[in-house]
Amino acid sequence: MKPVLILTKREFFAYFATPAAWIFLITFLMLSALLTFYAGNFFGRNQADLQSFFLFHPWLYVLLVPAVSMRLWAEERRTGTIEMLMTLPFSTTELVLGKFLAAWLFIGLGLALTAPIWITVNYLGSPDNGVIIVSYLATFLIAGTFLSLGSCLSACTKSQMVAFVLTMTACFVLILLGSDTLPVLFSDMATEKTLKALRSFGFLMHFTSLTRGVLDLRDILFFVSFITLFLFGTIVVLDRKKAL
Amino acid sequence: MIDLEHVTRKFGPFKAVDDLSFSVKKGEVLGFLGPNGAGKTTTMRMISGFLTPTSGTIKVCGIDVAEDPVAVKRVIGYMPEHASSYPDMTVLSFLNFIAEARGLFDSAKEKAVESIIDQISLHSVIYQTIDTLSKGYKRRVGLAQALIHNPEILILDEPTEGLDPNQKKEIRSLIRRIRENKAIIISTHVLEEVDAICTRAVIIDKGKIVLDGTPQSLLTKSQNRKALFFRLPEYQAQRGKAVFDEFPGLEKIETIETTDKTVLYRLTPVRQSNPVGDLVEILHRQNIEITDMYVEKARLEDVFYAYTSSEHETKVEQA
Repeated sequence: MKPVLILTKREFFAYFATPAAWIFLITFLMLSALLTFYAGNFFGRNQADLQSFFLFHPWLYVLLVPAVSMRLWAEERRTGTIEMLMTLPFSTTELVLGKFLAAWLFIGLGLALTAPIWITVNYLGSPDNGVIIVSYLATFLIAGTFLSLGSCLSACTKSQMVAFVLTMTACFVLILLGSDTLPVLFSDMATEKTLKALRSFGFLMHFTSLTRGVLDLRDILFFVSFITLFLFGTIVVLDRKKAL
Repeated sequence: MIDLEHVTRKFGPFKAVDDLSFSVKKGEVLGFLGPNGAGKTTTMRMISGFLTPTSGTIKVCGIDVAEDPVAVKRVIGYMPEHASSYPDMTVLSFLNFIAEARGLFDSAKEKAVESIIDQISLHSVIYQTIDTLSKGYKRRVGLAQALIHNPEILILDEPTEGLDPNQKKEIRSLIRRIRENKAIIISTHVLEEVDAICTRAVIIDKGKIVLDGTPQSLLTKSQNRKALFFRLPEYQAQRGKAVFDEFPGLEKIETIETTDKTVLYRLTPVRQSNPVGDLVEILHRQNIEITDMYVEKARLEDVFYAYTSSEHETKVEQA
């Protein structure tokens, strides 16, 4: 475990070596607040909950998570630091985990900084804090899933731009699967059964059921297995690249 | 301590390394030479575990790189060709990270980092971020990174490339100091470097070994065709030229430069001969004054040329 922590530590603090980290955090906070108060009509709903806050998170992540994940491997490959990194005594698994955890923690920091809105809602009314905690877990999990997908795609390319666009598209599709739009598009081609199967892969369904405060292990398992799958994919890609 | 057996590495259809076998023993400093694209970097990357061979086995300290890459990486210090270190980190935090990655913590870490900063004289830049460093310092940081854990195996890909003569000298004397009890592979483009630090020289071309011998044998070979320069006074140039023309051991005689007082000739001797003494003696006997005389420095390109130009000469020559 120690090698992973060493890597995570380095990677996490590396975010703050450039202004990019601060820009990301500020953008994340501003957008999430804007969406909550304007698009989500936080005050108009007149309810002491954070539904309107969490509602937009998956969409926000489609834009922002690829910006974090794109640099994970593509940048190392482009600058050549990957050669130094991969000749240090770390296994590929440790490298992948270390980098992923750092990025996940970084997004977690962004989420932690949204705490004032939680405090506000507690000051204004008496929300169900259990629901809010489960919702935070849900949003953290969906961010992690997107990140692991981004990590895998970033390992495939030298170009951060390519990694960004691919990740954004992939995340978008994964969200769309669970929304009402995509099944409608395909309703002519697919049977009811396939549509249902497709929808069960949609991220939104699992996300919304968690944000309603239903702590279902299956939903958590859904995200955790996706994270594991994508991280495993990253390891395979990196090991494969050594032989190409 | 480093053993390569029939190692082949392909990039698509291109064979970068072709059935390469050699070993490096403890105490040896192997100068790894060859024209660009000969397969030096690929070979070094395979030993350090950054690339995997298409076929063949590589063992480091008896451990198969394919079986336990992490254990191999632990005993190796590797300096990549471009010595890339994280540009946004300061030298000190970068070295701290490397020390931790190498399993050094607390006082052991402090000691290792301090001693490497001393050895490589990095004091003045430890709080600077790496992207603000000069090329020379960047390479030194790369070297520090490779040496911090005092590895048994050292693989340095062109460690002195881009350094000024003083820095080159420093790095060479550093390598000479630490080479005992280590097996070192150094790739280089500079012939004098092989002479200065290596105990053995290997030239590869198109992924195959074309020469494996001592640095001395390499230098001797390179001197086969060294050109001689004679500067003669203008008024005696005519007679001097006649001497050169009559001398049997010269393949080519060129007039390089004519000033109002002197003429400079470049003489290419035939292979395997050293006519300097004879020429000087003849000129002296004929009372021809030699204003200046020098022998062209051996160039690695010429050695490469001698060994890599003709296809049928590519058999391994044990010198």
